[in-house]
Amino acid sequence: MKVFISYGSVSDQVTALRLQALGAVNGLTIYVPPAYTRQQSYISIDPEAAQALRDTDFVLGIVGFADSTACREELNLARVLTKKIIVMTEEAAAPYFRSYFDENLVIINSMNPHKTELDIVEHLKRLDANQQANKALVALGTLALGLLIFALVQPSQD
Amino acid sequence: MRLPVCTVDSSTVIALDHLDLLPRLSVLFSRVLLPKRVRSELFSLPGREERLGKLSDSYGFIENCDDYDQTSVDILFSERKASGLRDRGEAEAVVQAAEIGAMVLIDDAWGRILAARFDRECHGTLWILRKFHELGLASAAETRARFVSVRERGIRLPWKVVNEFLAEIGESPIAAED
Repeated sequence: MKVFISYGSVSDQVTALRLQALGAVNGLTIYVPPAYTRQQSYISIDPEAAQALRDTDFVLGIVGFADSTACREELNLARVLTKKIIVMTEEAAAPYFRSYFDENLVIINSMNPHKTELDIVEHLKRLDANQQANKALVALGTLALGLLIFALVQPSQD
Repeated sequence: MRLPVCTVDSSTVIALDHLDLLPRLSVLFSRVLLPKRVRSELFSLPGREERLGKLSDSYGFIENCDDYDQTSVDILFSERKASGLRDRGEAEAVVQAAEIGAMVLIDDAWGRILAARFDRECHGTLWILRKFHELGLASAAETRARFVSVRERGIRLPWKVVNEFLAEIGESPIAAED
């Protein structure tokens, strides 16, 4: 199964790349857009990313530190293409995504990761993927949650 | 727990790029620093210059870094130049690592000796492939196939040690005909 990870900022790309490595073990082919697309000057979707988005089965949005125009554009295109989507975000970045992805939004609660994990499973059930795909996606979602919390609670870089 | 920072020499970048494993370094390191000379060595590789020259544009955790003591590099490099070799990239990787307390990724023997002189933890492609296997990111068979591919590419690794590792994970050694 092909998965597209749309991440918020360059700092979130590390989480996406780690998910790419871990997802490969679970039989997922994961596309992660290049870091330069998250620069402020980058206001449209990278052509290669747009093609990868069209070819994908599932889109995972991860917005831990901040969002970006490219991330919003990718997720909006995914919505237009009626892709299966889950957006995982910190509460601070949630208002924008809530207005467009309310049904597909998981707010990361680092104080209560179990609740977030249950939310992920509930969302995935609604996606109506086949059983094997669902298992892989639950694994991916749970890993994403762990990695995001791990990234968010780390002290800032010196 | 914060993942370590490393500096990297072109020899290791070339091997990992050949295996399409550069993005996977994000599993092992929080930041990978590319010294100036290493970047110019990568940029001069025919057919790969475009991709390797833009590593830091593609991956946020791979950063260009030029902020290190050039005098120390010059001194080390002059030792090396005396023996007729041109390994400034390795000297830059080690000096930079020493300044910020980072690990060094280097495959070349002289670079490893240099890293030891600077009391730096130093590893190469073998260690990285071993780590990926230990972390469950690559099966034993996949790991062996990667070593074979590196060998076919003409990249030099300590093959005796590689074969000892392959025996540990239940794989057959790599022979000359592999």
